[in-house]
Amino acid sequence: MGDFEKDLRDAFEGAEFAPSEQVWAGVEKGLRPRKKGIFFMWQTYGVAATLLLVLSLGYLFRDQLFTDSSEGPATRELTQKENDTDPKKTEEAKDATEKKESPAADEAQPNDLVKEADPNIKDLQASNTESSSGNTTSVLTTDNAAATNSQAPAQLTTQTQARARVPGESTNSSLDAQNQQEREGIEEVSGEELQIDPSFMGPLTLSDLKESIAAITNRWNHNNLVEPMEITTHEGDLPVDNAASDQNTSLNGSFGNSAFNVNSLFSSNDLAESTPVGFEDNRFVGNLTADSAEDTQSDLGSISVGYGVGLSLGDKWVLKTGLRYSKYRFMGTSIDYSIENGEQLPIYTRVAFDATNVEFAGEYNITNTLHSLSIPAQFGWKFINLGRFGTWLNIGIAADYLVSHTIKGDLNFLEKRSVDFSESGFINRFNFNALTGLEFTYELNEKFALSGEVFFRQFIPVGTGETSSTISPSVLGFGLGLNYYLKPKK
Amino acid sequence: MFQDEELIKRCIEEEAKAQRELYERYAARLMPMAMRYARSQADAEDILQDAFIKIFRSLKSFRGESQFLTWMKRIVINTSINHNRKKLYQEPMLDIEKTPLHVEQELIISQFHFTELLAMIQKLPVGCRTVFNMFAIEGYSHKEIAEQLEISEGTSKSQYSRARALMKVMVTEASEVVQSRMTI
Repeated sequence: MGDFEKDLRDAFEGAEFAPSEQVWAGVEKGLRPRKKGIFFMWQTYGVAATLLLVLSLGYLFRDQLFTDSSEGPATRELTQKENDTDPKKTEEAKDATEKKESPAADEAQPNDLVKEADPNIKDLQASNTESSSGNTTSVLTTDNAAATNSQAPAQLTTQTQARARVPGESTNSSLDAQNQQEREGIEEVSGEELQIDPSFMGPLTLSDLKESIAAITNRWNHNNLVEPMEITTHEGDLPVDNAASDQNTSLNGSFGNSAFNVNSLFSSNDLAESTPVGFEDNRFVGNLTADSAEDTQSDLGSISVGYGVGLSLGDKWVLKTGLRYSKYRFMGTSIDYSIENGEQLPIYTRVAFDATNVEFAGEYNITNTLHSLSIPAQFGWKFINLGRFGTWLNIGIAADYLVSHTIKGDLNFLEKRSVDFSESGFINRFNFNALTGLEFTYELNEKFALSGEVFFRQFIPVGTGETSSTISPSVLGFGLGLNYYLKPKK
Repeated sequence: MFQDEELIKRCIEEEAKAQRELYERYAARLMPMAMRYARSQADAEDILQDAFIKIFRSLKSFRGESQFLTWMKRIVINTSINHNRKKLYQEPMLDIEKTPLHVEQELIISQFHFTELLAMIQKLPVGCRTVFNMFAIEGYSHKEIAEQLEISEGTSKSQYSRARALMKVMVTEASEVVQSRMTI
């Protein structure tokens, strides 16, 4: 090592040369690469979140969460089944039609299947619906239509024909017209092809039209004994101890025999706030065992809004609770009909009934709408943080306190009915569920954030014996909320 | 103003303010080193930027066994060598047999400011420059240089000799300019 090297080192010893500001900018950029693509990432995750939200909403709309189920489903159901043209059945129908053309066969028509309508029934009634075998049968009556039937013009529309059918009062000409229509084939009946006379029975809607098509087909099936309705009485299978069962009714109709925890101590008229016409004498009492339950259930979705309070546990975790208002909709089917004044009419749900007067016939849909106040307890993990936007994975439990429960049988003439909670205990109205969800938040400031969540809830069976649930419904839904975060000082 | 230990601790916790402070404390001291290995200031800044990113990412591995500045200098040197590696392959260094040796007289450089010396060093070919810096200033042996640059020890020596010869020319020219100014 000579003097040259030594001098060189000395020359550079303690030397300083300030780099430009670009160097630090580059260092920062290299140390925080997330910021590099923040706009791109925001776009990507924003699009993904929007897509998820749209899909969720689409799912809920598809399942009619936001639509009024008092109309539509029954009509669609009937119409759909109407259009299910089974070749075998069509062949049978043709045979029956040919048979009907002979007077002897005519006399064999079971006109007694068509019952006299209750005087209170103002509109079309479709009862004795039997669809479990894939066929639908209905008896249609209307006193208004009966009064006007004899004055009906020769070019009666399909709808008016359907409405005009009243046993014993129908004119020969109208029957001939109907039979002619039937011989032409049910499949050829189309709502768009029909001529409507608005002056005859008032405005006609497409829904009415479809209804009438269904009615004609059903009556045709009745008259021709095509796949007659099989009525099976299960009275022997049912508990007949009404006195005991009076004290033990529950909302088990739509949830199998589960209570969904609103059960216990309902009076015999729990569902009688808004009983459908024709149910004046019904007795909604008793209990139904699981053995006789053949109901099915499916969730139609849930929507909720609420306010949440979260305790931050570091940058990525939060423990949160709050108060949410939730609306759940479940759809089920029932096969239970009660016999009232000789009429066989659907009871909405197997909440309770007089076991001696219940028969199992065609199935029909039931839509349950429940409103609740929910208190969740959840852990949230923020796995995406894009400036003010965050995406959380939540998991926890929630207690739902039911505030109302309405039931609607999906047949046109059935009215919405409400469950009376007055005699249900405070505790019994709580339902517990496991809750998980994907939550998207937008921070308004350090304390508050708007949130949108897609969640899945699995209700947990609780209780014992008759108050317990054997089926725990689950529901997919979405919610909106305002979150308040408590941040402990470091 | 934090001590180095506290500053390092905060930088490990990715505290932006501490990172900035550490950068400002040492960047100017490390820049001349980067400039010696680079061909221009822009190249040197690229080297320094990469070196600081490595420093911040490697802070957890600093155990205090050497001085912090020495540890950082080593990172700058390694970054510089990696930065020049591609050029080193493109301009392969020749070994001693193929390189004419010049008998050198003693070089007197004490009269030059380090920036003048930097300008001379930056004019050296990349191989010569790298070996010259590592041997003459950083104090590496030719064996260590050979291992690090994946060349033979003889090549390292010949490259250094060549660098010295080139430096002598430049120093001589510069000295003549200085002397002519003084006589005027």
